[in-house]
Amino acid sequence: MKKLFSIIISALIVCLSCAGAFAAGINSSESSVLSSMRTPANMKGNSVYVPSSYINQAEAYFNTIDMTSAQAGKINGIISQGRSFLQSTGKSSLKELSASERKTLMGYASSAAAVLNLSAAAGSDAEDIKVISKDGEVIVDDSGNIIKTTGAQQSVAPYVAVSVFAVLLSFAGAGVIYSRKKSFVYEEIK
Amino acid sequence: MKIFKNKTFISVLYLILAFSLGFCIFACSVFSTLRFTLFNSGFLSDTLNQTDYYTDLCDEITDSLMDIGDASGLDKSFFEDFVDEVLVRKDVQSYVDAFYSGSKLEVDSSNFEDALRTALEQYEDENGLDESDFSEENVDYFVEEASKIYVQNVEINYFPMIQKTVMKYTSKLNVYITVTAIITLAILLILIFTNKWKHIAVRYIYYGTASAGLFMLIIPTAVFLSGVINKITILTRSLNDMYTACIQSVFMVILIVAVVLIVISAMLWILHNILRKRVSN
Amino acid sequence: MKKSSKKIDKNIKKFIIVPIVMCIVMCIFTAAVFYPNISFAVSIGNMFLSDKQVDYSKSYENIFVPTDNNSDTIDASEIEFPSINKQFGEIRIDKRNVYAKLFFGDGSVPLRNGAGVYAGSFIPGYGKTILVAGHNNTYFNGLKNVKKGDVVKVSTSYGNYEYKVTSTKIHNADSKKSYDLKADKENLILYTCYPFDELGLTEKRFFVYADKISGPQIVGLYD
Repeated sequence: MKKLFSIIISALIVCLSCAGAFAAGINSSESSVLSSMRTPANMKGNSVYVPSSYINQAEAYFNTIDMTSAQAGKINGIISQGRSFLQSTGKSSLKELSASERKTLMGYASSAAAVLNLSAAAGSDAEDIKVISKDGEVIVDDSGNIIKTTGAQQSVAPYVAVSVFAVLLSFAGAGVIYSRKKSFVYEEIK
Repeated sequence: MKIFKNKTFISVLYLILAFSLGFCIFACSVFSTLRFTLFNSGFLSDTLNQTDYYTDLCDEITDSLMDIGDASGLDKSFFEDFVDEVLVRKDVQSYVDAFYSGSKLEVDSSNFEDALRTALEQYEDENGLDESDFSEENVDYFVEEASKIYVQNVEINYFPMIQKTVMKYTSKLNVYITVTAIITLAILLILIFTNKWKHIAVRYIYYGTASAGLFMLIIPTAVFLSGVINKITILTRSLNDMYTACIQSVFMVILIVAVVLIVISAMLWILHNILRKRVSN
Repeated sequence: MKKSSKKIDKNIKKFIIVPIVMCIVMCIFTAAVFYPNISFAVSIGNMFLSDKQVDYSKSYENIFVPTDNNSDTIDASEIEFPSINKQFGEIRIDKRNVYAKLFFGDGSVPLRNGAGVYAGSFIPGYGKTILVAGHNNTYFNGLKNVKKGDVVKVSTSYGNYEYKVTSTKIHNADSKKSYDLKADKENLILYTCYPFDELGLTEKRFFVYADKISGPQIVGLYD
């Protein structure tokens, strides 16, 4: 489930990448987002938390930006919707989520990015998550392992590539898009 | 059937036919473009050869192997000329072939592993290393990890996930192309044989062809003018080269088809005028 | 004459306007039919677009400027917080011949050029865990000689820090006992692959644990 968390958190971080370039410290807006991230989702009595390594990464990034309260409001709204959605699924863990439920979660992240007209996330292999800001700076570089083997990166970016295919096919207006795309999303966040 | 003698009704009917003709030409062209590009192994292989994919991929494998070498007591020079582009080409090509043929997607890393073990033995001899300087278990683990790096790089990730869909739609696309081509032909025949005056039939065919050409022109023009292809964020140069080249080629094919359709419609316009003049005379 | 030119005009209009109108209707029709697919694909696709092309060079940015600041505190507003792959300091253990440029992030760029702070941990002075990785064949080879009581010096643009080694341990890479990212006390953890100077690779890692003894505490972090 690391990857699912990573994608959602990464997308949230991506949503903030339009914020001011340099602003030290954690302002009240950023604090509210961190606090929202620390609040667990209740899945059939089980509390599901975002791993501290991801929250710490978000905090490190927040130290380099200056988030506005409007942005924080939007992000907190998305996190809250995501949390309510998880609760409403009636599942007891993220592993049990169906393909369409995972797609919905992915939808929260992507729609937020679209609303704020930001983004640029890129992944690599199935375990590797990278987020790049609009100006090309790496914001998150997470291979899923806290203790590295050697620092060796075996990364390629099919995550992006697959989406490119999806967009390409969409542009072409072919009737094959829908079911292809469904399988993309399912696998991407698996 | 008085209604069929109504001139406006007939014109509307023919306009609808012309619209359907345009849409079918458009659909047939797009399906054919997809079938002969993204859904065609030759297209991907050509793209890989035309870009610097293999050179970049070898560099990326070398970099990753050097990283693992740094944790395994090996000099950087060990991997400098180790990755064999010929072997990489062969393994990538087999992978692409398997992808499009629906076979199991796997990379045979035995040749790579053999080469690595031979190189390690040579390295041990050259550096006077004996059994006290390493354990077989750790060397095996190193070879295993290095082999994983090789396989992960040769594999085009997420291809396994879309393989079934590609297989499914490759055959479906053939059906779509045939169906749209038949409908196109049928509408053409209806237009030609139900019009007493051939210049009128040509005019409606012109409407269909020109509208399809214009529609097809919009998509690649928007893509090329927006520069969206250059904004794609792919974190390895090899994949970036490959995918941007693939996308560019697909849109270029669409653009060429659009231009061809527009040229055909211009010819139809001229033909219409010639036929009309003949009728007037 | 007038009549004939009018006819030509009408003809041209027909031949230009009708295909354009048809094309527009096709666009609307296609957009209406495929709107949910197109909008979803475009929104997902937008997540993978960047205004700037990816930089494939192996270079990195250095924001480290040595300072003499040895005060007890430093305000967060005076610090340029590092982002991934930027060099923001140096790390050294003089007695053990360990010296490395210090980067934020521990991907391939940092580890090829020095040591890297895991981005899910914190920078010196933050009052929390600093988890630093380095290769055993290069920059962190000297860790093999580190002993309890050794001093690890970390220099950054905003202050100079010293940490005293409290212990060294060997853990498996996947052991969660080897670090605590939620710790509220500043502690430095250096790690590298283990064993040293042997050909081959293992799942074992060599950890050096150290506690802060001096260096400015970052204040004013939270509003």
